[in-house]
Order: sequence, then C-alpha cells, then structure tokens
Amino acid sequence: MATLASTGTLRTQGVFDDRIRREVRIFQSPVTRYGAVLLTLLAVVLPLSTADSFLLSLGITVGFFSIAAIGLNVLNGYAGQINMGQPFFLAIGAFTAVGFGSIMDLPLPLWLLAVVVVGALSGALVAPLALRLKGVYQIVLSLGLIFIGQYIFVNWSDLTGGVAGRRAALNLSVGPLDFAALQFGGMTYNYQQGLFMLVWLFVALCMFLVHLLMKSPGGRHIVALRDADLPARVAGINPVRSMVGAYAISSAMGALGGAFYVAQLRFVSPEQFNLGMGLNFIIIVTVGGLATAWGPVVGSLIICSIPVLASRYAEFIPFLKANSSTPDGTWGIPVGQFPVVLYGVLLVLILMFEPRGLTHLLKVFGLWLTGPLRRRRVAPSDGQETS
Amino acid sequence: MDTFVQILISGIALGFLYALVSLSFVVLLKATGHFNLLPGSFVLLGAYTLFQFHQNFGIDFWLSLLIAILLVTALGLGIQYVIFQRIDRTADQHAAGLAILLVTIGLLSLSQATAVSSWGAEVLLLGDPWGLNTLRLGAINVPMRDIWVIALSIAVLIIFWLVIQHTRVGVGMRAIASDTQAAFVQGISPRKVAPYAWLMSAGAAVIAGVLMATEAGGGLRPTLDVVAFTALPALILGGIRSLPGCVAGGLVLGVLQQLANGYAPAAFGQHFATVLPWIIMIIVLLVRPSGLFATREFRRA
Repeated sequence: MATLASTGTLRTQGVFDDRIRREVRIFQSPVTRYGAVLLTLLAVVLPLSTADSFLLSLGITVGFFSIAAIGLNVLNGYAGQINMGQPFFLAIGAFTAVGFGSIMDLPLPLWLLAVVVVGALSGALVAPLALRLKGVYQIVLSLGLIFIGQYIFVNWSDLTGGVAGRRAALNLSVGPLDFAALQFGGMTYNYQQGLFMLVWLFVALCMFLVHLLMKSPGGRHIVALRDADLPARVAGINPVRSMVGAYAISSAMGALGGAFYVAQLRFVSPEQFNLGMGLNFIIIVTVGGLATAWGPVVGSLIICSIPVLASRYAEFIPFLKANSSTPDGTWGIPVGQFPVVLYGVLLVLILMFEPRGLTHLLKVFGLWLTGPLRRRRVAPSDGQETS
Repeated sequence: MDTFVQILISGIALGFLYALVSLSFVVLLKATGHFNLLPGSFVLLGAYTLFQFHQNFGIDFWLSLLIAILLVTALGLGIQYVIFQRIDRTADQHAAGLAILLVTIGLLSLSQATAVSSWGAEVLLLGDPWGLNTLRLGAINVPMRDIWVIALSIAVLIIFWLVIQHTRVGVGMRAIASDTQAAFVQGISPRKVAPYAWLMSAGAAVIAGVLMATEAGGGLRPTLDVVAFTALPALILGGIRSLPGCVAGGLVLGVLQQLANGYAPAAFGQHFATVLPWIIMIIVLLVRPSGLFATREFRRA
C-alpha cells in the first residue's frame, strides 16, 4: 500500500513537474539556445570584423532603440497598459548620463547604474498616477509627459544646454577597459566598434532579463492582471506591486536606451525626445509584435533601417523625388517622407491582417521553410517516446 | 486694462479652437466607441484641401470650406468601413480599442506624408478673407481672425446643439451613446447615424484646422496635427464624454494659457504657456479624474 501510494504521488508530481519545467524552460528548443549564444558572440565579433561606420552606426541606432522598445514592450505588451511617453524616460536617462558620465566624468558602470536607478525611480513615480487611469486618460497622460518633459529639460539649461542642446562625450571606461578605444591583441578599435559591442551586449542582457521575468512568478502576475484583472486580484496578486514593477522596468530600460543615444551622437538636445519619437516607439513594438521576445528588436531593425535604406536607394523606388521645401509641380514623395509613408502603411496593414506582428510572420515563414526537415527528424523520436 | 481685455479675447478665441477640436474627438469617440487620433488628420487634411480648392483652383473660400468638410467626411467614412469595422469584427473589445488607436497613429503619419508630398513642407498662406485686419475698439485692437474664430465656433456649437437635441438623428446618436443594445432594440440603426456623426466630427475639426492655419494663426504648415493634440487637455478637463464640458474646458484652458503668455514671470522659463494646459490636466487627473464637468455616466474606463 505504502509503496503504491508513494509511487502514485511521485508519478503525478513528476508529470506535473515536467509540464511546468517545459513551460518555464529558458530556451524552448536547442535552436533558440544555440541561436542566443551565437547572436551574443556575434555582438562581440561583428564590430571587430568591420570598420564600416555606416553599418556600425545603423547597428548602434537599432541597438538603443531596441533596448528602449524592449522596456516599452513589457508595459504595452505584457502588462497591457498604453504608454506613448517613452521618450520622456529616454530623456531622463540621457540627461542622467550627461550629468554623471560627461559632466562628472564617472566611469561607465557608475553612470549606467545611476541611469538605471533614476529611470526606474521616475517610472515608479509616474506609475501610481498612470495606473489609476485607463484608456483615453492614460494615453493623454502619457502624451502630456512628453510635453512636460520637454519643458523641464529645455529650461534646465545648465544640464541640458537648453534648446540648442549640448555636446556630451560620455566616459566609456570600465577600469582598464575603455570601450571608446578598445585594445585587443595589439589592435586598437575605434569608438563606434566599442559602442556597438557595448550596446548589443546590453540588448542581449535586457532581452534575457525580460525573458526570465516573464517565466517568473512576477511576470506571470503581470500577464494575469492584463488578461483577467479581477480574478487575478482574487487569486491574491498584488496589482500595485506588479504593475509598478512593470513600469519601473520599462522606464529603466527606456532610460538606458536614452543614455546610449547620447553615447552614439555625443550630442544631446531636449528637442530630440518629442512626440514623433513616441509614435515611432509605438510603431516599433506593434509592428514587431506586442508581447513577444523578439518583437522590439525586429521592429527597431525595420523602423531604423527604412530611412537609411530609402535615402541610399532612392533612385530605385518609384514615385520618389528629392527633398525640397517648395512644390515643383511634379507629384512625388520626398525622400524624407518615404519612411513615414511606409511606417503608416506597415502599421495599418499589420493591425488589419496580422495583429501578432512581424515576429509571428517570420516564425510562420521559418516553420514553413524548415518544415520538411523537422518532420523527418521529429517523427522517430516521437515513436520512441510512445513506445 | 486694455492689454488685459485683448489677452482675454485672444484667450477666448483660442479656447473655442480647443473646444472645436475636442468636440471632434468626443463625437468620434461616441460614434465609433473607440478613442482615436483621426481628428488630428482631419485638421491637417481639411486645411490643405481648402488651400487646394481656394488657392489653386480659385473657388470661393466658403464653398471650398464646405467641399473640404465633405471630402474629409467621405475619407472618414471610408476609413470606418474599410478599417475600423474589420478590426471591430476580428478583435475583442479591449484589443480592438488599442488596435484602432494604433491604426489612427499610422493614418496620422500617412496624412502628414501626403500633405508634405503634395503641397511641400513650407508654410503656405490660406488666402482667408479676413487676413491680418484688426478691429479697433477705442484703445483695444482685436484681430479680425479672433472675431471670426469666436463667431464661427459659436455658430458650429449652436448647430451641434440643435442637431443633437432636436432632430431624430441627434436623438439616435444620444441613444446609441448611452446604451447601444437598447438603441438597437428600438430600431435605431448605427449605420444611418454614423455618417452624421462623422460629418459633425469632420466639420468641427476642419473648421478648427482652417482657423488655426489662417495667416494670423501662423499659416498652413504640415505640423498642424500636432497643434491639434494641444486640445487634448481640454478634452480631459471637460470629462471625456460631455460636449458642454469640452467647451468649458477649452475656454478655461485657452484663457489661462493666453494669460500665462502675457503675464507669467520670466522665472517660469520658456514655453511655460505651452505646457500649462498639460500641467493643469495632470493636476485635474490627480484630484478629480472624472474631469471638472463630468456627466453622470462617468466611468474611469
């Protein structure tokens, strides 16, 4: 009897464990596991192998947009809130970085820590106000944040340089290692190569953190509150703690993105963090795919490369004409406007036909592509398990 | 004293503009059930359409205004039938709200690009009949544009009030806004009411856009839609579902903003007047999230 009972419990426990283990496993399949390791390695190796400043600067731009978008995705995707005010947090991060990394000239880890802490604190301060509101009120509040942020930063000209902006070279050194002039095996690498490496290591870190968070109880609380507010509360989830946490993570990553923005341009002005940027972030997370791990990165890649590619290959795209402020009688889309058109069309099409975003389309495409391959490999192993 | 009266009048004019834009938002919210940013596009495209007909085709100003309103209404209805209804069918309530908001952000980018592509990025003159004339009343100089803003806005508001209170369509609109199911049962068809709602929304937005784009208002420029968003605090202040609330909220913010423009000490910094409505809005949201003029059916959702 005793043995039977014990095997019984053991067995159910085992089955249960297995299901949970499969669900909370960090990497669902070997492909993603080795893919992640490979991509992280690529972040280090790629900048060492090329010095093409066009490619590197595009890469860095995609990187810091990704970091901020990964943060926003926690809030807009997983937590189901609507925040259009991410530029406000980018501005906070940028000017914290300017204060600690440029004016006080502290080493990299210290000012990064300051950026993250200040970003998280500002998010936690805004959160109670934003969480009281829903729908329209929350949207308008987040738009208000952008305008108020610009007012504060334009007038705090000692730090921000006012309307004209200021040059700000950030200190990128960690002890003996200086990312502004990396030295490996007798070779010195330039500023952009070092920054590329740094930014993409942080993209990897942020993706991994968000991924882990969403597998943890805290992340599950956030998703539960999004999907079924009342039942989640009844089940004993503290809505304030979970949602304020989501806000703090989102704003901390936004601030980090802003800090790297300054590091890339080595210049900062409050005007950069405007409404247009907020709309771009919304487009990035939506087009990439809300509440997906890769969505923000895919979205940033697309949104950031469109303007660059459009201006480079303008002659091959129909209906395009050179930028000019005066109408010259011919109808055509100025090169500067082409990306805007494309964003708009992309956003409308994605929402109408595939609300799960481009990531989902890519996944379906990938599965279709590797379909024949997998069927052959999976079939025998399935047979073994059942037998 | 004279300066004060001048500031007051320009504040009232600004307030009516805010009121018109936020009315456009509210009517659209009531008609489609979802908050969206289309009035921003309406403001922009309406003003440019009027420019096209009045300046390029040489049609009379008022007739061009009418044409612009009708074209923008048609555009809005097209958007509703092609995009909104599809999203409404495929997504559930919460997701549809978010999706429609996001779609209108996409449409906003598109309309901005259309404006720049077709009419260029520089500031254009609308060729309005009143121009930069001013009316002299003793020591007070009142721009004719402000007087037209106030007069036109009051006319629009009276028409709105008459339509909503005293016509079958208006009754239908109110019924649908207060209880969609019950209105269905009573035989009110949203399909028949929707065009009028879009017409009202487009009318308010286009008139506001044209008045903002006149010479005294800073000229016709592709960033007009962002100017339209400055009316959002008035919307919140008025409590989002009430039409009289919008007017009151708009007037309060307009007057306060112009007073701050004229009298705020330099210590408050640059752009203080621009940001004042948003600060007031946040304080209102903190203290009284239902808006200062909330109607009874208010929910915080």
